[in-house]
Amino acid sequence: MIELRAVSTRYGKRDILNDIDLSITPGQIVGIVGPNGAGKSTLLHVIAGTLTPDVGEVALDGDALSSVSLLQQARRRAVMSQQITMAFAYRVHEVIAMGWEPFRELEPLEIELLRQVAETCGVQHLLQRRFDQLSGGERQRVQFARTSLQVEGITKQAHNGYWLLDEPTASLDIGFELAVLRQLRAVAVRGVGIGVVLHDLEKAARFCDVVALLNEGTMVAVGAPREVLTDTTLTRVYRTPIDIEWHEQRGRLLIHA
Amino acid sequence: MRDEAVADLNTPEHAAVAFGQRPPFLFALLLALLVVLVIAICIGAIPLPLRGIFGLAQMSNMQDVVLYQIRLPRVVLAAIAGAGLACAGATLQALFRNPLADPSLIGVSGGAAVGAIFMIVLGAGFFSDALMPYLIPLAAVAGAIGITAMLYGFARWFGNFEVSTMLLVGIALNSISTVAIGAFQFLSDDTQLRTLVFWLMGSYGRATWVTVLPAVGVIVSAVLVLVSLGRKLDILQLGETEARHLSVDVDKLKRYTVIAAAAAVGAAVAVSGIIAFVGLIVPHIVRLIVGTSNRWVLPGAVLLGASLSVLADLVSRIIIVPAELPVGLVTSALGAPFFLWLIAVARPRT
Repeated sequence: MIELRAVSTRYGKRDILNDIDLSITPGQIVGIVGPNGAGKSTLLHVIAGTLTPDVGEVALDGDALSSVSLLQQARRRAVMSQQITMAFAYRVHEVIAMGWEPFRELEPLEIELLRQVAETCGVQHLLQRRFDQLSGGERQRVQFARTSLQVEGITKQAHNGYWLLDEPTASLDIGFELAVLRQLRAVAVRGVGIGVVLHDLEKAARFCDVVALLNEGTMVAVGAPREVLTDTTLTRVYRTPIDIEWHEQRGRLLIHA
Repeated sequence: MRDEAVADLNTPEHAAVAFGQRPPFLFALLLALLVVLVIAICIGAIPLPLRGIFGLAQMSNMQDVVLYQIRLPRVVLAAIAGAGLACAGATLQALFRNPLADPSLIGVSGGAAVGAIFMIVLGAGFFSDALMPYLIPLAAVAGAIGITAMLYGFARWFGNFEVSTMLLVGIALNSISTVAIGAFQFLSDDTQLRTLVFWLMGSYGRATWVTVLPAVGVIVSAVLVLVSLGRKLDILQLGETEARHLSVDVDKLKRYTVIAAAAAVGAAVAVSGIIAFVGLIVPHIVRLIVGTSNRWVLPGAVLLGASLSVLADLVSRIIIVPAELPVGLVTSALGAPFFLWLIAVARPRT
């Protein structure tokens, strides 16, 4: 389990995160949602260990995150950040293979595994292309595949595994968006804990077990989507009248704003 | 040829190549270097017989002296300096994630030049001439590492160690080096000034075993360190945060890269002056041959850097016989147009 206890971070005098508690359990998808500038990406950076909180603790399976070596962290959790650019002409298969780095000393990367991951992530036709010449959406799918390969390595190690993603579907069309979210669900079923920043509330309600609603650096509510995503809360947080409707038969949330 | 090699990932024999396993290309570069070395040793003001240099035919005493005391140290120096500069250039490009990075761009060459000039101009009054061949390279390596340490310190002091910060500080430090070099030139007497000007243009012409062997030791060690960092430098291309998430200790990687590259450049500058553009051009040509991964680019740059440097020196020796051009002029004449072309094609893509 990844656990945040009473975490606060400041940038200058401004509070970015204020007294946040959150946990991600193996097998669970935790969606982090909230308006622009709510601190979602900062929260993900804290969970990933990129940013050390000024106050509070982050623990990875019971150990303080700061005491876990970079290698052990990388063998237990993968992180997909927002857009990446590369200055040199690496091929897509080279970029994806970088996801295997933490496991290179344990076992060599099987070409078959790379091809499988590429196929699952819908980038098998891009493998020989230059990464720096791909479109934004294609790059995002390649990064998804790279971290997905790292997750494959993590699950082979029989540890609890985690996958943290910052708006993994931001540049994707609806087809790929759903494919990515379905894949997250499939990986969670295999026991991986997932923390994902999402901007689409309907998708968050549909795919997440737990939704954490963030506003101005403060946790407004954490819990099952139905409990967190209510008319009154959303109207207040997003400062616009929001009407939600649960489609009972399909178990989905519809938003009227 | 490259595109064919990576065209099909679906057959096992091609997959190995597609994964960046390129020893055949490195082997070709190694063969090319050996051929270039033999040619450069044979050709010169006093030609040496091919069979003679392999010990298969008797050579005159004069030919022996030319081979062992003049030609060989010079060719070895050209090879090792070219290898060091090219490898340092390739690693600095990877470190700064900038295809236009070069030892001279971030101030490393300038720092080495300041150290060496400091010793040439001010050391002459304090130390005996016999010590100078050791003190000048030492001062150059110290200058290169000193500048790089300042770069590191400034970047830390500014609060983050982002690559762009480091590059900007490097540009500022380079200007300071230019001022220091100018001041020392102003202080020097006529004989020293002649030495300085010739040296600043870059030349392998004064190579002797006494000056060459320490440089060989430093550059070989530095290059071994740099080549061993290739894979991690690849991962760094994803970004510093992403590299950490993949278990790369980025601060340590930067420290090793910076110190080893500074030592290689400092040792090369001390014995041969400022040979421009080798560190910029060679890595780009190597990438066209072996692909983008630094696992192959770095050893490739070592081999091709040595070859091109020896060839450039050969041209500088024979183009206006019996006089010699400084090799720095040859590399600059070739490098400057290449640099312009590179700026044109390396403009930021959207």
